[in-house]
Amino acid sequence: MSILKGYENQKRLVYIMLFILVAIPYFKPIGLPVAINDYTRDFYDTLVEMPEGSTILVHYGFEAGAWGELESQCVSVAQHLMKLPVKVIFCSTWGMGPPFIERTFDYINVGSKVYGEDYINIGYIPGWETGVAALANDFHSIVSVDYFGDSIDGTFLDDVNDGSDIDLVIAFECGSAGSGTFRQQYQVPFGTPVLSGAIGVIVPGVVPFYNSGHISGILASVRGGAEYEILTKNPGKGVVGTDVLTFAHVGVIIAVIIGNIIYFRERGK
Amino acid sequence: MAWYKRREISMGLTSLVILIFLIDFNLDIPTLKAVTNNLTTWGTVIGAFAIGLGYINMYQHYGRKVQRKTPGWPYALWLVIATTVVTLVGAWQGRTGDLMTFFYDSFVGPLDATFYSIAIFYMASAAYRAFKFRSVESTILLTCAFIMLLKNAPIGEVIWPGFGTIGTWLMNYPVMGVSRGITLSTTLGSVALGLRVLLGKEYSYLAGTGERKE
Amino acid sequence: MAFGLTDLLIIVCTLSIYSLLYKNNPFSVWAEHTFVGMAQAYAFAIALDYIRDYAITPLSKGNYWAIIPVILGLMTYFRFVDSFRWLARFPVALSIAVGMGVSLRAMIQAQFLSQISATILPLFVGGDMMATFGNIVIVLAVVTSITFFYFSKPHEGALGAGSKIGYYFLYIAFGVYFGNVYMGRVALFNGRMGDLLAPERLYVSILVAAVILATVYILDKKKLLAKSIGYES
Repeated sequence: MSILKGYENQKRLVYIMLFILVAIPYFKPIGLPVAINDYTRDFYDTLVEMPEGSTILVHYGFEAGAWGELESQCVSVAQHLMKLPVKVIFCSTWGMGPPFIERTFDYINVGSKVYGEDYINIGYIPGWETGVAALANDFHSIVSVDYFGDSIDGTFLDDVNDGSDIDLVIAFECGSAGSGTFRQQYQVPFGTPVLSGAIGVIVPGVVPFYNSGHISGILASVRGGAEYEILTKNPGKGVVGTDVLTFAHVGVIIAVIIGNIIYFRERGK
Repeated sequence: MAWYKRREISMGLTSLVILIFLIDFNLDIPTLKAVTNNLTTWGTVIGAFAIGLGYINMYQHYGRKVQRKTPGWPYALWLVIATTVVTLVGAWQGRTGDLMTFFYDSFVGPLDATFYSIAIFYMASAAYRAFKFRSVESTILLTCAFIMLLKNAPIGEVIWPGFGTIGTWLMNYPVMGVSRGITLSTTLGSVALGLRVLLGKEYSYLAGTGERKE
Repeated sequence: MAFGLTDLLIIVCTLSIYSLLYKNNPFSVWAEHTFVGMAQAYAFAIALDYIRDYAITPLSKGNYWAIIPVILGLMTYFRFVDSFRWLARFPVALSIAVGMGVSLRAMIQAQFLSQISATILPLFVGGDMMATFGNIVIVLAVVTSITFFYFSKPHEGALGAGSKIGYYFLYIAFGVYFGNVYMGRVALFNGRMGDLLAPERLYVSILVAAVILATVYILDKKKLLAKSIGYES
């Protein structure tokens, strides 16, 4: 068939196949069970075991390009944090990261927590690792207003001076200024534990630090987000996204097998 | 060349500041701590100013295209107009203003996400074309890729729980070892680069600030 | 949920980029230029806000030390003035120094020593063959993958054998990396499809897709595609 001849046509068939496969779960979800990884369980246990009144720094180290992968993690973790007796500081060293902090709040219920007393969004911190270092060494030298431009005086941040006042760091990362930066600027000088919510590309690079005990838990891409939603009994986009993973992954496996069959048949001729 | 224009002065400044940070990390001197805190804050402010460099470069490049009416210049004109409008609105309303939020939600956010997501098509078509069981190495690569794909998708563990077990073992042992090896190598390289900058052997970071060669 | 201008723009922007899968066309080129310009302008607006909040405002409140980073930051722009390009060296030197200073001092402990100590594992664990095998695999993978990247001597003899083993470990890692990266990209594509297939956007998405595809197809058949995106034939 001419539609199958030539790489250009075959390539386009692969594209169409992907569009169809990813669209199917939206009309016919299947809902397969999702097993929980040890990294995710350790992430959850670390959060649950935080003492009452702990201050947690949550860093959004990504922009729109990674939101699709990290949305389920961010939303489920943020929702869980709103149920725990902890104080939370949200920040980002990526210029367009802070709007996603606000977008997270569109999806969660803060319950009885009060902005400024229990949680706050301090917005953008420029300078990548330099900014994180400044935050760790002298918090108020680099943060005087929140994301909305209001002064942070009178909030719970009055008691946060440097990294020793942060009890846990959660770093959602897709590259620069990720868990590695927070390990260097918070864990090494202050002993602050670090959790990582990473995109798929970054996970193999974070696992060695989890294995050595320097990262206390990892959420791995959308699968990690789905697992966390299941652990916190708060199913959302992550669990829905696992159906898409099923179809898309099986699709590429089939495409590779077909490619091999065609290759070996033509080699046999 | 006048003495104050020599690059050795800025190289010396770099070395001095790096030394201050290294001494501060290893010795507890309150005065030095205050100095490094100030320097760190100044570094972030300078970083904010530096964003303007790419901005000006972009105007220069696309402005030239519009001026010379090179092929495709209407797109360059649209870029210049869009950039100017968003900049003016940003300067007027700030980053959290309604219009800025509209621009981000309608244009920047969707475009950013779509550019990254389009890679799946190229990955799938490249896998279709290039991934062949024709050598030992490609067989190893493909087998591990299939195991990982089936481990990450829930259907893998429904078909056979072994995919999850083997996939987890692969991540926690051989791949973890390789990642650790790569991390050690890159850290060694970074430290070596830092030492070279500290000792003044490396000054490529000053590129673009010297005298133009005719 | 009501359908608004933002929804339409999201659909148009997303499908314009995906039309690149067929061929480079006016919609995709428009989308690329829009993104480059607006993203840069948005980042610049964020930077302006930061300079105002952390340099100008402290200055106006009497913190006169804040003038130093402002002066240094403005000096960065002298790289566009030929006779004063040398002034741009100082802010660059300070930024590089601060960046290297903050990262170097903890890097050795965080990335190097911690990983080496985690690799010092017992190569025989009594009564646990799986743990023994696992430890041997980790140590072998670390050592041989570092050996593979050692290029100061030719890979011969023991070095050659080590680097060959590392080579195969790297292929295992590449396969696993592919699986993880593909999962990530699927998730990103899923996010976009979620935006396109939302109930209030579904029909408009189909309509916009049809219009874009038809336009691109017609331009391609009439051989006007290259000219429309600014390539001279």
